[in-house]
Amino acid sequence: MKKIILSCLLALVVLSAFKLTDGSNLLVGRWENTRIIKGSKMSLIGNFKADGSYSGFINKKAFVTGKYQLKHDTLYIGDNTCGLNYVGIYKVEFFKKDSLKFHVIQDTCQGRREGTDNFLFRKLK
Amino acid sequence: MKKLYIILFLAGLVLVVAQSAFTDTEPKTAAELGRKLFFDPILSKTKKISCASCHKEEFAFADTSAVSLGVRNQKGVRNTPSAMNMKLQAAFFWDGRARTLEQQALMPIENPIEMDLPVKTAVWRLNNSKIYRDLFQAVFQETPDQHNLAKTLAEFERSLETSDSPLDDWLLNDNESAVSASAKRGYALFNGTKANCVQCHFGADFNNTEFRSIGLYDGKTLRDSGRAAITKRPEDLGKFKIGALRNVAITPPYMHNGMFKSLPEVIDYYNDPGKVVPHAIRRDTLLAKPMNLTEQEKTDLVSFMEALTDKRFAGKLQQLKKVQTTIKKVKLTNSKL
Repeated sequence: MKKIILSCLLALVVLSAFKLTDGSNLLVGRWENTRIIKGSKMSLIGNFKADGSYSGFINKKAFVTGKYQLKHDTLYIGDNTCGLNYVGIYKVEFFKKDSLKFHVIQDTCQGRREGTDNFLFRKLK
Repeated sequence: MKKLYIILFLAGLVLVVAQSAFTDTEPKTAAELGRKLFFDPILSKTKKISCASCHKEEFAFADTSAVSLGVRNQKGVRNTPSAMNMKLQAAFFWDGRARTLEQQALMPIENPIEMDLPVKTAVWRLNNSKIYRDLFQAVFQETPDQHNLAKTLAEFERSLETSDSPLDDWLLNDNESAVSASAKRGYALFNGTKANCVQCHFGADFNNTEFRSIGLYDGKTLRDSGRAAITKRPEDLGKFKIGALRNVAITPPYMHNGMFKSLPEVIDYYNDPGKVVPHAIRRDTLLAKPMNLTEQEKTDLVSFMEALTDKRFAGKLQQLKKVQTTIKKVKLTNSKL
């Protein structure tokens, strides 16, 4: 009996640890990269929500909405603009909790790759 | 005596208010100078129309007629597109004949059925105006010429960006109440496989850099060859620049020829293009089959497009919706009689 209770407790501890990992999705929030294109400043914002959806903005104009999943440091991201059911894969490198970089692992979607790969994004308040 | 003071005070007040109302704030940047020129008929042969005659500010710098009237009331051949949200565009005019805003800016001035003024004459006129000579000197440190005229108009157009629509508010600020449930369903449809509008209408202004044929060329009643006249390629017959969708709800009528008066008409067309233009030449394969949208889905798509209206035009949108509801009611009543 004691063994069963101990096993249950252990299982609970393990499960709650997983729950904690899922709950602290560092990517949730709005991240902005600014760059100069043809002499004028351009802002690219990604708004990642806790429900696994995200939207992208160019100069604060919404332009894409899709789904994502963050597994440890790997981001799986997809939207209909880049192809139905196609998912791009990126490594996400966090710097403290207020900035990050996406590094492409695999993504045939040129626009998304060129807009994100190796650019520094800062967290917006 | 007291009355005299009051009259004098009121007269003074009227003078001060009138003075401040009519004091033109002097343009200090290329964009501000461009705005002044955009509204000035000095750039048309008859000095009676300006760029703003066709690009009406209150309608997101588009026109409300199928085609606009140029000098001497000459009818244009294509619908006037909005001059807003040009900064990120890669080609200009329905057929994309201009690759930069600077190129685009001078073309309507010279076009014989638009403003009909040779650019040389326009520059001559500006150089003969003390006001413009001084303004160009202040902004560009040079007298007016073809290049700075194009630059100033282009810079004004670049300043006409809109990024404060209910859709932006919803998605950027997580403001769930910014758009209706119908608009949210419409956005899902727009992005989803059934309507699949996003295949062509993607990007910050909901168009991309391509030219497509949506089936409005049949060589008989619809004879505008579009992009093909520029590229001289037969495969471009009937192709036009994909229309941007920001503020689209306040820029009827629609398409390159203004043949659809309202957004529901546009959606009806896309739902089954063959029903409206049965023998279209080279209609895009994306529109090969009817979409079979329900009435609710059509309404949802319209709600989504209305949610792309910048908040500065919210009043205009409500006004237009009222007019369209009245027209719908009248049509319904007439059909019952």
